[in-house]
Amino acid sequence: MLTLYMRLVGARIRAQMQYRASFIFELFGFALVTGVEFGVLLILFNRFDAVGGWSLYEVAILYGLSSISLSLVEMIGRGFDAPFERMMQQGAFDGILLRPWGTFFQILASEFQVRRLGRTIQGFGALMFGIAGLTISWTSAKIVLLVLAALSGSLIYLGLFVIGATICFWTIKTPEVLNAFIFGGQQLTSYPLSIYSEAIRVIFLSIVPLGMAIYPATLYLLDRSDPHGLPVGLAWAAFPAALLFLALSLAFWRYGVSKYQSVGS
Amino acid sequence: MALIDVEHLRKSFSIAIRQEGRLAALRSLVRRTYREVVAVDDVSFAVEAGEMVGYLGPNGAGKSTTMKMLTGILVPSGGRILVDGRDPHRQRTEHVRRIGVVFGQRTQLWWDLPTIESFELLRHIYQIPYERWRSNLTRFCDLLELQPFLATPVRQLSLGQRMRADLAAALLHDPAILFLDEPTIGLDVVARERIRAFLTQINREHGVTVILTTHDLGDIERLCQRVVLIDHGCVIYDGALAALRERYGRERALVVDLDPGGMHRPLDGLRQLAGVVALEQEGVRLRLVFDRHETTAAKVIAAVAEQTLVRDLTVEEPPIEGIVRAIYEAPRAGL
Amino acid sequence: MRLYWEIARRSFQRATTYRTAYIAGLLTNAFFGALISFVYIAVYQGRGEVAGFSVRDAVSYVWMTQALISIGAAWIAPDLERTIRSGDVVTDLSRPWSFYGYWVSQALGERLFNLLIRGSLTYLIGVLYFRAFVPDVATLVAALPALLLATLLAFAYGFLINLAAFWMFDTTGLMLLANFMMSFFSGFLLPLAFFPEPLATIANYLPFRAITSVAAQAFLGQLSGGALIEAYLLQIFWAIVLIGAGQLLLRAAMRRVVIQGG
Repeated sequence: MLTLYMRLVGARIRAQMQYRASFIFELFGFALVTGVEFGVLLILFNRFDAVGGWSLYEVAILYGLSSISLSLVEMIGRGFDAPFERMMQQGAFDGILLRPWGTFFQILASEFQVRRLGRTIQGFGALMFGIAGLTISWTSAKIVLLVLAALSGSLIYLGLFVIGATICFWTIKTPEVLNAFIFGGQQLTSYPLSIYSEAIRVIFLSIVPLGMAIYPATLYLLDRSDPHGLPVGLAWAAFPAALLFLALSLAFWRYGVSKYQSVGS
Repeated sequence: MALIDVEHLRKSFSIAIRQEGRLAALRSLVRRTYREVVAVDDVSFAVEAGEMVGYLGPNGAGKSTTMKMLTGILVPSGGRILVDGRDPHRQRTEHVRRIGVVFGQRTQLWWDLPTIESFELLRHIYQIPYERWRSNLTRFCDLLELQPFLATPVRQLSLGQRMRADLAAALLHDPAILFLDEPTIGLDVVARERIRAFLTQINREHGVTVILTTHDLGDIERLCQRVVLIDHGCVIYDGALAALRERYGRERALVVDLDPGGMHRPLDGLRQLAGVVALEQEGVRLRLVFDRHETTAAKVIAAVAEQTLVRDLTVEEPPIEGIVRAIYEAPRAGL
Repeated sequence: MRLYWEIARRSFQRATTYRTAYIAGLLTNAFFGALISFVYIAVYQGRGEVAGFSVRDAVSYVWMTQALISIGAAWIAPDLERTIRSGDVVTDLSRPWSFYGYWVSQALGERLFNLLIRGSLTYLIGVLYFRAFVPDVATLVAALPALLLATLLAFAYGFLINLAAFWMFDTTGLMLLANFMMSFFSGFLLPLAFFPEPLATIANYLPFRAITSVAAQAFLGQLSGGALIEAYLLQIFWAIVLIGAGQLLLRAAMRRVVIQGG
């Protein structure tokens, strides 16, 4: 399955490379556009010294983890975004159903956007910048949690993309509200969760557990505590919660596939 | 048991009704009203291994919907399908390994990549052993003349080339059944003929069962020994093409080339002949259309020979167009 | 003139038809407005003014930027590009009207409608939940020309970039770059007052601050008297430049269409 994935993704990348000039332009453009997000953070900290008691380096870790987890999904999971919408509009999903592999796997393998690498690199840069600026007493648990945090974030973002795509089975278009969760979620998780209102905190700790993915793990990493009394141990629950979220979105996906109406007569 | 077994198949779609007036969009967010559209009402038929069957009907009759259920794309709303003993939707992945599908308007190939790369990807997708894949590909390249454009990106292929490539792609994994939806649509005469010859060959020589929908009556005449006709989501005829002719093609035409020596004789008497429906004359050529339930070719020929001097004559079978039209126009109770 | 008024009026009315997308867009803007507001509340934490902005100014500014998305101040709509790709542009070019005038009227009609409904509702949410600044009548009247000119400027810039589709096969990269320039240097992402040197100076010499920054500050009553007149003049200056450049480029594009037949 993995080798087939590599082959299909390889084919996709070769197809993209046929338009080399625009590919390079886009890689550069995306790097710049996402880079400016961190720039905004830097400018803000040029004027202020803390966000809700968090220093620039501490926020940089949040921002870096949030960026990395979204960028990984943007790279591998965009098949569930606009390309899927197009697939639905053109009835090309029929072709997916005619191949002897699962639909989720095939959609995942149908798209790979190398140009999103810009955000990954930028996120790594921010993370390293944050780690370098702080003196963290490293333990193996902290390293594990750091990796799990980015991974959990990715799984939840992937789940959100899948939910958006599934809604296409009924509406043909992904509702814009999902962008609010995906890109709003990235904005939200780039800062300490404690600064937001209770309603927002509750929603992003339960329904869309993005708030659980990165924030508690970072609290643990930095030996901080949450002013609202959020248990730091929640960091260990993030990965199972993310898996559950993805599992639920996959169940929704399967239900959507069974409701697929195809186009034409 | 038959290879394909369809019983009381039904598919209905619910379509949201657009509401009119102010705040309609808001209201439709909260509660939508749906209308049920029945695409396939009650379809039953069985296909044995090795058959080549034409699945025909006018636009909107439910042909494509049936094909999509047979291939596992759509879930039936009612009834039962068994293909090779499997439920196409529930056992989708096992099912699609055993079938090949070509939908005329849409390609299954990778648009931006050279054609050969699509074939290579399909080898991995269907996990075809290399040797078998190699020999199949060589055979198809030969039969369908794919060689000249194997290195061309699919997006640059002509419609005919693309269709040939799609056919090869659908057969690389040696499917037992091939489903074709309008395989010759938009193609020129030569391209059509090549595809028909290919289909005949894989059916006869390799025993591939073929189910096809088409609007091209040439396809039907050349390819299908058996046809299943549907209209309004129900089967209205299922049987041999010849029997269809027999049953609905009552009219025959006698074409007579007159001897110039007999040209001057009046022919109007023939019009009054029992069973003759129409009479046309163009120079020396005379065309008499008669109903073979009311008279026989022999009687008509005898009558003509009596009135004039005949140089040559032939009896024309009715074209399939006429038959199909006759069926659609006939009152449904009469069928 | 009558023709262009009609075009504007039609597109104003047409904008009323997509209600569902409208509400979704509004909620998305409001959600981002809330998230960014919380960040400002968290950075100020009892501090007074920073670079001339109190916490309330900063939060009001955030809601104003979200409201100005409705006039196209955040990113460029590829509407003209779409007609170039589809070939519809050829018909539009051959009609007996000023092509530029047609697009200006259409854009102004639609965007002003958006500002009036979507923009003001977004801002209203900010007022209700974050106590965003409510301008008095005099400030509002003074801000109106600035808002109008900002709308015109956002359009003129977008039109200029869209025209590139006449020459380029794929404009994704250019669009990204152009959007970045506008959203960053207009003060959409954060107030220009917070910019350090040399970014502040660069922003000062670019046309983008005449869009979001000037419109938001006028609305928030941060500009008055001479500063306000100066702001109007700045907007007018850049409007002349961008519209002039647009017309010139359009003429070149038309020559290209005539030679190549689209």
